[in-house]
Amino acid sequence: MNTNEESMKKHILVVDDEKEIRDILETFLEKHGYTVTATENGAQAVDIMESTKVDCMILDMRMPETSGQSVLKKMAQKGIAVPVIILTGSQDVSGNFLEIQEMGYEDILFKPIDLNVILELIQKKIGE
Amino acid sequence: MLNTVKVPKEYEPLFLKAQDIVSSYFLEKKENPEKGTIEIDDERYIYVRAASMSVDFFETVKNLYKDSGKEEAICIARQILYDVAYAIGLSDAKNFQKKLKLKTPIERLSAGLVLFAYAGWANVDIFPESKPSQDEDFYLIYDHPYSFESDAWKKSGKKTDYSVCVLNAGYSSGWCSESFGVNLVVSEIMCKAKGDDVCRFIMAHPSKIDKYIKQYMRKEPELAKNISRYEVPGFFKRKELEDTLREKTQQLEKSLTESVKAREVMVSMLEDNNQIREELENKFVELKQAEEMLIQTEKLASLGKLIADIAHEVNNPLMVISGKAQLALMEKLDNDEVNKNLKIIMDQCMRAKDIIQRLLTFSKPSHGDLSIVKIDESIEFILKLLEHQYYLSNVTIKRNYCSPIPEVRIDEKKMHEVYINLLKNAAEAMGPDGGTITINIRAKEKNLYIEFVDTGSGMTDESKSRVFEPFYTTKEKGTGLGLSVCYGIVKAHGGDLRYESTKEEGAKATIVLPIQ
Repeated sequence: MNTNEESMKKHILVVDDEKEIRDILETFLEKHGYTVTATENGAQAVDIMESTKVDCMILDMRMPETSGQSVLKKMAQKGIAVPVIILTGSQDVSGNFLEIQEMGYEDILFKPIDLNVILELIQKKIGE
Repeated sequence: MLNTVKVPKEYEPLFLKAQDIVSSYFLEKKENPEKGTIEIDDERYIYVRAASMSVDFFETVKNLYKDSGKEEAICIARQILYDVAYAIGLSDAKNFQKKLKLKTPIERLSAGLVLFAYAGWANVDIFPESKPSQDEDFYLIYDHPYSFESDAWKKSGKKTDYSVCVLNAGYSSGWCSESFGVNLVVSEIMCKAKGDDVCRFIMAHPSKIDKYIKQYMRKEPELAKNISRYEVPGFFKRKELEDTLREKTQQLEKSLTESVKAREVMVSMLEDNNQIREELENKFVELKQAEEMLIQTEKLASLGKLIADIAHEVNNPLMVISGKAQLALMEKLDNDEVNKNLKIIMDQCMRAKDIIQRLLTFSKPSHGDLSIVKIDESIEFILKLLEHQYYLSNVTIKRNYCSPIPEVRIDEKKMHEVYINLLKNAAEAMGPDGGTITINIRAKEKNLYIEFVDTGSGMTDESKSRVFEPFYTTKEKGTGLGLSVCYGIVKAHGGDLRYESTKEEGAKATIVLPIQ
């Protein structure tokens, strides 16, 4: 794969405080031809999106310091329009999902999930 | 000189005056046989032979009523005579009181006694112990030294063992009853016809006469030996009996009416009682259910918090395990046994995720956060949320919503759990090959009906009857909690949750909610 091809690859940002999960997603998505940046920090994720072109973000909800919901709010404030797939370990539907949906983020996946479901959704979101 | 009656001294002037008036009245007597009239002061009179109204009358009646026996016949004769004389006495008293303008009862009595003598009935000797009063204590004791009746008997030579001055007694009682305004009755305690020295009478109120007679007999023990038999006149006895009978009949009718009413009241009370008992029983059952629900809710609230906290922590490692297994599978190893085991690891992770979801649903207590909700939007939210869930992967969702959809007031977060459970049950009933879930929303009268119709395997009769029973499940891996919780949630909204199904023909779950 040359530099040009490398630059053609879609860039996926994985945000999760669990290292093993970041590793799995990184490995899996790279095997499917994506460039993956992984971070455990919500605030850092916002910085990355501001400085780098990100095609799709896989975002955990429950994280220390900056939660997934805070990341979405900051994106809205800063006018960052990146397709988001929410991947959460929380299954409590009475949580903040209604609010998240109202913000326009409708793709919510619950851990554990078949990695192929994530793949299909990414492809759908970035118009592949 | 007072010679027609004998009275206590103090009454003599009054009676003398009466004697003057009545004697002058009788001076006016005009007999006109050509016309067949006898008139006194413009009043027609008739002469009647005394014996025909006494001794002969008794004989005639005894013959007429011989079939009834002597005693009965005498009784009948006495009753007739007494009643006739009472009526005459009453009528004469009215007439004379009016004609002679007599005001006080004693004045009226005096005129009566004098008239009595002038008309040829008898003369009267009133005893000093008499106490004529205008009430039930009235007491008069007197003799008729020359009663026309006892004289008639004596003259006939017939002996009796009973008193015979019945007309005298009846007339006197009629006159005095009218004069004193009190019901009075006369009993002849001694009679010349049966061998006594005098004809002696006691006049009193019917309720007191027996008492006065007995008092007199106690006072005069020598005389009492001869007073073997006396009669209390039938007129009053009969009237008394009739009054008593009427009174008893009225009482009976009243008590009968009251009994009927009481019965109606009792029947009504019994019905009310039954209704109240039923209501109480229902309330008791509701209370018991509410109590059980409360205990369950409280227990589950603390359990729910624990489960919610650990769910997040457990799901992350499950994601790691399943993810690693999936990555390993991607290596396309030749070892089928390993691949098979990796697949099992993935499946078991998903199973663990399901269990956590169900426990979460079951244990989450309601916060009673009610709001007006558009039910289609509420369902769409959940459909979107579950879009990527594996159990819906081969399921087609059809929507059949009425328009407009009436608003309902619900605890939306709790109702979300109901939709999730019903959708998941429907999907699982259809198996891995999937099928169609049709969601119908329709309004009828005061209720909104939300139906989830699947094309699955349907339910057995046993499943249908136990569908809402906690811990009842037909699934190998089920907890048996989902639908019982759903039922409780919908009921708490004043609604209902129903399941209809025919084996092999799918099932229909219907949520009924009251329209706002």
